[in-house]
Amino acid sequence: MVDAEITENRNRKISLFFTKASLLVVFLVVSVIYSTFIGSVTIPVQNIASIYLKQIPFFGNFVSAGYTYSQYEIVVLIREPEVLAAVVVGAALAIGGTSVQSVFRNPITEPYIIGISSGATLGAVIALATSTTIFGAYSVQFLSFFTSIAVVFVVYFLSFRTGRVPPIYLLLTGIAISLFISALVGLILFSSRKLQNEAFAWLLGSLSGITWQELGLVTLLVMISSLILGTIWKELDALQMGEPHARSIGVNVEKTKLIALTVTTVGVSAAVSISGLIGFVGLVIPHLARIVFGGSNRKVLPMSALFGGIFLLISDDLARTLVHNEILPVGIITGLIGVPFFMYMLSRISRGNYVS
Amino acid sequence: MSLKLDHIGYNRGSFSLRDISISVPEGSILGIGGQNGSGKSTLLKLMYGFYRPDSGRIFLEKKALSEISTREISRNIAVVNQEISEPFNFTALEVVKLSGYSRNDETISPLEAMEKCGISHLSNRTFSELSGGEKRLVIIAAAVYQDAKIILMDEPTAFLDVDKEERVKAIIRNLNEDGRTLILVLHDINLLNSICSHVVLLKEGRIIAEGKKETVLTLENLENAYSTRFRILEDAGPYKFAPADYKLM
Repeated sequence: MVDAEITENRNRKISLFFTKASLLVVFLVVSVIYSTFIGSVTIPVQNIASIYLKQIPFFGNFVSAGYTYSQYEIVVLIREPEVLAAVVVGAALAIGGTSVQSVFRNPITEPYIIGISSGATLGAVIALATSTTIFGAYSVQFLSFFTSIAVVFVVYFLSFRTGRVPPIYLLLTGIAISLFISALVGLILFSSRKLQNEAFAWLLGSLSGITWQELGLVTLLVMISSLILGTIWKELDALQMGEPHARSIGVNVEKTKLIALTVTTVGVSAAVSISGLIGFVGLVIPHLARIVFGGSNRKVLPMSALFGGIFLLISDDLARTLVHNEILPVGIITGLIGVPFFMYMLSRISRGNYVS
Repeated sequence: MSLKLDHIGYNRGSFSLRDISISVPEGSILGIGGQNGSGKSTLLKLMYGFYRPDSGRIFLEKKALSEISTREISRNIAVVNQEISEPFNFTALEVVKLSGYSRNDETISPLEAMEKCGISHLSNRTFSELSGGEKRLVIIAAAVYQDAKIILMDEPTAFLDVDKEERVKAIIRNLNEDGRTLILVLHDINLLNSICSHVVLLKEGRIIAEGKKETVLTLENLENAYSTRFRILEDAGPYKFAPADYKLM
């Protein structure tokens, strides 16, 4: 290949990437706006538009209020946090999946596998069972967040073998500890039928009722964790080639795994603490991003966040609208869409078409 | 850049390497031979710090390997491992580029490295879809791109067809002529004889012979190392040694 040809090829690839990425961003923004229009109460579009404008600092003072106060409350206090939570949680789960799949070099892993889901559930169930109020209204969220981190911590340290944490031990320990914790959760739930009902909603995952305060804190944690993961994309790429190879090109393998797992756990635990268990996003979305954008984490990390946000947002819209006057748990929808999509993707991989 | 192993010991369960001392001559092609399970690949992984020895020390130039950062080691030692995981949806070029992780300056581009190995036409292909031999060449090109003075290779010619085996041998010779030191794990005695300048023979985790290949590759040493009787073939080109009256037990 001649140099000019290489440069041209490169430029074409870069502009193709930006086209695809911009389309995704536009699609996300449109979906976010559209999603606030949907709900059990019908609010005229022009009213929602003026509610939006009203929220813009300073500029909002000049907007005349053509809406009722209850419409304002529905949009600002219910719909907006839910819609944005869908984007943040979806992004966190997808980025977490990308990171964990790179660390384990395994396409069928997801962040939950290292103990996040079982730990978060245990925390939530304990909070529900004991009606803890030490953290005020957010006891379920706080306890699920910290228990999840604690469980991953235990899994990590039980996986140490002569100064290293081999992925296979981490994976097996994660699964074993998760089963153990699930049994504990089962034991606690067995004690009370009332508790079973409350925990049921949490286990299926739901985005309704999220407050701005919770969302703000979680968004901050997810952003910090995602930015840190973004700084180690090269190391995560190298880990996919196997640890002996990654080490030989100069990557500090153990440090990379520790950083990746720590920040992934913080980001995903934060997301799960307000959403409950939403499955499949962390497993499926990273692959979608790799099919569309190629395998390097430089692109897969940010693009899986976009895909994850869009996917969960659309799933939540469906959860709110599929059944009249009933909000389905969004975890059910992600499973129902996720599984067929995953099967389709598997067939693509097996035909050797896993290329951009 | 010199590499020196000083009384290395490494124990893992029933397997151990004992009292391994090797001084790798600069600019040589050092072959490590021995039976399956004699510790060849483990020794290679010790040489770039992937495993840590339980006793003894490894010196890169004058510094102990355990005191040098991973990045610094990789600037001086490149490795072609035998087993490579398949990354998700990477092109061959992306795999080669990864090996520039620790480099400060670019003396050779990833594509040039691929060209040197005769595989620039594979640059945009998906790595996981390549054949085993093509993958090996991509990893060798990655090591070339890493541009280290010492290159370790674990069975670089295993499972390759004749054409690719010859190409890998040519690449090894070229790298050596450029002034690089190569350390190769090879189970094939005739390859040890045809491409190496120096040979270390391992048996059950110990060195049984070491030095220039002419002095090490004797019938006596080979029979000791491989527990098989050999005979010398006359005028058979690169094929000098063959098993003598081999019987299936």
